[in-house]
Amino acid sequence: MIAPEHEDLIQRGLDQRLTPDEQAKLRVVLTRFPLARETHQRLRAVVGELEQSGQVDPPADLTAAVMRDVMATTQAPAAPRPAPLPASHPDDGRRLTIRRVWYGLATAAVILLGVTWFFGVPAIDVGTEGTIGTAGHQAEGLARAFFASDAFAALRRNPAARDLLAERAFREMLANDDCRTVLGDPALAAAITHPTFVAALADPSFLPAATVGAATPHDATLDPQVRAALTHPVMRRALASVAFQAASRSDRLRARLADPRAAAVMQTPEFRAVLADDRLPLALGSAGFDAALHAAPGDPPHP
Amino acid sequence: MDDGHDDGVCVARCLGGDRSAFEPLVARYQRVLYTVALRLLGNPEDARDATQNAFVRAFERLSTYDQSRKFFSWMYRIAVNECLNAIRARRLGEELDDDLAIAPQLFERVAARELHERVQSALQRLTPEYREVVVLRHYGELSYEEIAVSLNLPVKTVKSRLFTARQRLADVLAAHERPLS
Repeated sequence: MIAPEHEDLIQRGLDQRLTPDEQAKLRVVLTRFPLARETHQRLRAVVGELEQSGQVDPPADLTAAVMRDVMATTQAPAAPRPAPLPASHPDDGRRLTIRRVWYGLATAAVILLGVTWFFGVPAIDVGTEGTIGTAGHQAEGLARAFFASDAFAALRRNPAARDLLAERAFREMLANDDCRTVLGDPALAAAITHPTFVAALADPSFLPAATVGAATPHDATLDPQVRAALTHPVMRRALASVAFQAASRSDRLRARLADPRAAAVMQTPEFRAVLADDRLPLALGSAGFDAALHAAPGDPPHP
Repeated sequence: MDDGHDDGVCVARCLGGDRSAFEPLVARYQRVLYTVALRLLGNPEDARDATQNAFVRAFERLSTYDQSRKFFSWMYRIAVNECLNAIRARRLGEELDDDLAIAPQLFERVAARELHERVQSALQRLTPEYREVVVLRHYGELSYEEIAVSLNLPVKTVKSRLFTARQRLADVLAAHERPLS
């Protein structure tokens, strides 16, 4: 076994990050310790191969393809927002750029595991052989780590948070990029849980109009902050999502959202931390979610 | 490659509404980003998609770019995230490119190919966690600290992963050279 300090010297030597003194020390180590010498030689050969393999020319039409997309995208980089958020909520668009990249492309994970969970099929057996089993094993490992996180533990100790997370429709919202962005923004989350908004949701004609900015019979009764939030493009995309539309049809979820405790939950650091956790989509697709959610505070979070 | 002043001018023009000003940025950085994507993802089609998506995402988010930082560092993180997402999604897909699933005979056939193919093949034998640090270090030429930021890992973890990854790569490459029995 190579000594950790030798390992560090070898590593940094390969990466040319040694001071002259350390270089001298490395030379001594390589002289005195055969294992360190052998390791150094092996790794130096690897580094040499990696460096020789060099960069690769991209496809000749890559620039043109990118520029076609750039010209076609409807999201101009400095496009003004339709309306500012209420002044009492000084968050600007930056808050709304929380990590969507990972979530967007983790769709495969959510689909694979989410379908399993949704239809009540038993969890992927950790011991199952084959590629799906391997994937499931990796995903379940990440989900378990999520369930063991401090933020999730704090939420499951909070009755209002637990009630929300127990709702399948709410979890579908959490799995949606735009809904999650909205829930993570204080002003937009406040709008989602505002009683005037939740009351309007009970009207099936409200959402289709709200998502395109059309006038609705509820405009007069909506809180001004809700009206301002409804002009936000991310908010509109969230409202137009299948997940949110399904959530809006759930009487029980609407009642939970209108509960002031739900609004309070969404303003907690724990809730934000959970939203920002890269493992959330995997946890949402885990068959162990309910068990982890309802485990007693002293119990392990996952069976 | 790194021309901060030019980058800043291009970004400013883009933010002012001149979309064509993004083209020099693409031309300048596509080679290194495509190389990283190819090394991480292992096949040209995925690498092309990831690179293209990364540039478009970067353009769409240009207003969030902090111009006190290097454009390349910001762009690089977007590209790496794009690749890591693809790897994670692929891990959970049905057609997993499982590191252990490469048939020995295929691996042996690769031994006769060009050096970059040999290295590429060896990289694909590493688990994604190890592959990431090697690629970011050698093809992205990132420091330990920059890799740590890109992967959201402690520097210590980056260093230990890199050490182990290189050892495993050495094992794979050595096995690669072993004559057929």
